[in-house]
Amino acid sequence: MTKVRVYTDYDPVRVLVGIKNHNEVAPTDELALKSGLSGNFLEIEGSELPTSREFRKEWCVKNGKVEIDQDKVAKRIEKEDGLKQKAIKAKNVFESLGLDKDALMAYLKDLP
Amino acid sequence: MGTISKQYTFSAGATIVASEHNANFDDIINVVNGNIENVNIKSTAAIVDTKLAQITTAAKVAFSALTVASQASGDIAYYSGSAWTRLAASTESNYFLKTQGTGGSAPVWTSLPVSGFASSAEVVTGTETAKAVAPNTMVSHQGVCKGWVNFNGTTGTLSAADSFNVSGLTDNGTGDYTVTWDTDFGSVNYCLVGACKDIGSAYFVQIEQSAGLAAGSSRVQVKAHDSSTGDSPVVCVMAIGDR
Repeated sequence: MTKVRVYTDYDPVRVLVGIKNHNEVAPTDELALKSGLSGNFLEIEGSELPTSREFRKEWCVKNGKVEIDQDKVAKRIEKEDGLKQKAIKAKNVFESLGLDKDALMAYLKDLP
Repeated sequence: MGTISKQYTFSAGATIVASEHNANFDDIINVVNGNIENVNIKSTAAIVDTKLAQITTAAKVAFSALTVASQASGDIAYYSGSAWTRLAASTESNYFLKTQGTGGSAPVWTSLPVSGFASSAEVVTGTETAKAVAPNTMVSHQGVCKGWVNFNGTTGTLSAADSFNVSGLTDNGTGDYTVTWDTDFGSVNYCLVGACKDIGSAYFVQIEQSAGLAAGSSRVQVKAHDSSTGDSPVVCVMAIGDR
């Protein structure tokens, strides 16, 4: 696989892939400039990137490698779980009041 | 052998010596049997056409030896249906030989229906009617797509299935990509459209709010109505405009 550049000053990190005549090529400074990227970057093989994008928002660079920031993942899951619990609570309350799904959805839509 | 002459003349009543008699005939026989030269043929003699028609072996008549009345440099020979005929060379430069089908009509010299190739500027203007468009300037026309890409946004490294005028793809995050154009647009006032393969909700491709369109790149997002972004296995982006 061809080299890619990982720009580390962004959160999450940004990954630049160069293309020439439909084929992947190593990015250049000129391409990075045109692509609006600046700052520190790491040049690695594309195959060294995580294959799953499930935690794309938590990609970070540690020890010269792109890794998934587990602290960030935990925080996000915690936040999402909190929202889920909120929604379940709200659902229970609505159901106990005899309200229907539409009313519940209207309520959930206004949640932060 | 050349011209031959009689070696011995016998007077009336003379004794004919065998060797002299044979010598006279030997010269004649020698010439007839494979040694006839131009001097041995009568100047007004010619081989009749019917004899030429008997030639069946290929390349017995050298093409370079053919001549036709009034022939000149650049002439073309064609078969009229009854005879080989000369078409005089065109007096114009850059003319082409135009055939006229199989009906027997003679070929003619003709000019091309166009007067050369349009420049990029003429292609952009799009009003030229007498010039042809070469492949390398075709993309200059305002109505032609200047760049496009079809890529997979679900892989670790963004992977372009195919593209035109694209020099880079940036993975900015989930469902957030920048397409970098190889040849820039003339301004940010170009038209960009996008589409993506359905990923289970009402996602669509839109121009990213803060960066948006630049002359050399376009940042797009695969976004749902609730503003969440998602990665699609097929993201298509196409742009048309001046450059």
